[in-house]
Amino acid sequence: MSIILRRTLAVFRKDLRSELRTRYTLNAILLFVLTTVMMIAFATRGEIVNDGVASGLLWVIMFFSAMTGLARAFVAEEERGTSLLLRLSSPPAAVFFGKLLYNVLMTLLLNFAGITLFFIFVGGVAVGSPGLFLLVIALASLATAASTTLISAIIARSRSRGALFPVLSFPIMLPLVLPGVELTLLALGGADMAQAQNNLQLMVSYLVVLTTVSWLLFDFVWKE
Amino acid sequence: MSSLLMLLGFTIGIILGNFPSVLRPRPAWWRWAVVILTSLTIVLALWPPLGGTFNSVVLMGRSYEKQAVPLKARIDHSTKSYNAERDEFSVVMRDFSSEPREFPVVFTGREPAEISSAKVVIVNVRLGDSDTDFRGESVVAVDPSVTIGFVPALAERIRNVYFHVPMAWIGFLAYFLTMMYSVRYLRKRQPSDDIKAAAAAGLGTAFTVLATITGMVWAKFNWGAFWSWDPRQTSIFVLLMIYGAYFALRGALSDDDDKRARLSAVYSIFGFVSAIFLVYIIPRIMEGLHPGAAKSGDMGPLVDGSIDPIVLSLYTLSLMSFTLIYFWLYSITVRSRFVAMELDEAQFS
Repeated sequence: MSIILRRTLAVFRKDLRSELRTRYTLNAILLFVLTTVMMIAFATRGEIVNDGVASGLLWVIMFFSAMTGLARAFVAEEERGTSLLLRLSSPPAAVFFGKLLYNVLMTLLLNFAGITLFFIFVGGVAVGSPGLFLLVIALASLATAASTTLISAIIARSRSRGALFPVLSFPIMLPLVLPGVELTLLALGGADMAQAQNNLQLMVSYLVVLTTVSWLLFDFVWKE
Repeated sequence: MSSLLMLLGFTIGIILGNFPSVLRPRPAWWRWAVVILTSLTIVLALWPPLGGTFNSVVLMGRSYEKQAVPLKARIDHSTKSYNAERDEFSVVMRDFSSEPREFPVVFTGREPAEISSAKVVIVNVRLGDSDTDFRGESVVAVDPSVTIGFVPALAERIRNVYFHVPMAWIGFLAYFLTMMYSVRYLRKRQPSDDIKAAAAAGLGTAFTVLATITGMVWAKFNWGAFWSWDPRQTSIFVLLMIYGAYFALRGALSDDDDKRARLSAVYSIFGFVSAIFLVYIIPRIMEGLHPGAAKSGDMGPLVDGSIDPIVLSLYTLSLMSFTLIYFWLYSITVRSRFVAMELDEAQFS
């Protein structure tokens, strides 16, 4: 087990290092997030954004930043032609969890960047219970990464990659989006943990099931 | 008990659907049996009259529109009387609820000719000025052999239960089979399993589309709008999106048969996990219009057995016959794709 853990961290470090070396993708995606938020800010300019609209808009930002940011994980390997080397050097479980870890970090970064920008540029929205809000966003980031990592591995092996990724991801992400929007609304309105419990349980269970199933299925996508 | 009956009907449908073998042409007796069963289902879904109780007359009578309700009741011929002064005919009727109640029902004019020799009648009854004042309007049926229980919230619209619910169940059965064949493909790598999985997904989508359409019509007349993003409407919409994505993925991978089979199998298993959450969990956790939603206080009348026994038996019959139709279509689809695959191989070799 420890060798898988070591290899997982190695894959994670490799991805992180190759990203930080150029920062080309990261910058492009952060600019994309900024564009999304600006689009929303201009669209709602002069309007009163109530909690219901705000929670929906936050999820729009999170969905679109995930769709641009997370598709790269395996496509980059195919484009650089390094997937064969990765296949030789690391067991599939390590590759999967390494990429998953990298995607989790990436989603957290993008989501918190997007949300910060949202609160700066779309005024008049206050968070009623910040603890719950942070928990929901963190959970949403984890679950988003869990639901899209396997799909990014699938689309890396196909043509028309860009268009397929959101098409394949959206229906898988929807069981997260439905309770997620409700939770965000509750958090903005200042609800306590007890009111959010049902939806939180739903999200956590979906997260666990998705991660397990992705891990079980990853071998079939990764191996030739 | 009632869910046992439905399960039995479903199981018989699945077993008979696969008998003798789903990969062989269907025997003539099998085809005739399915045609007869399905015709019977459609006739029994549309033809029998509704029969309510005094309770439902009172319930509908208290509503704003004071609607008439078809009342199914036994006539007590010894109590017939005609009041010449007010030109009214009255007779005591005994309804068929679990605790039968007796009330006189008053008709304008002389005794309607149809009921003079009948034991059991279905008459349209409207509530008069008080909760015991029942006004007979017209005779719907005399000594009916089959009647469907009257549900105040549904009335005639209950007939859709024989079409809408089986379509949704069979659609999900088909998606389940897609998942099973996908798992088997990943274990054994037989191209036939991929063909079966894709055929089941296609038919599942067809049945789910039918469930959506029948549901939309039902929603329009029961809830007032074709679409209102009830959790179950959301989930069936996303279910269709999952399998739309499945076919989009298959299309994008058309250059390599093994890769297409492998990746689409992975996606269909992954998508089925999402489907379980969408079909079984989310509609029960969230509040909505469908029976069985959170805070509606029940599991849904079909599942917890609070439904009229005749409706339940007819539902079981329709579930069975539409399951048989599914396997018939499935058999044709799979066999034609096998032939296409063999032709392809013959061309290239």
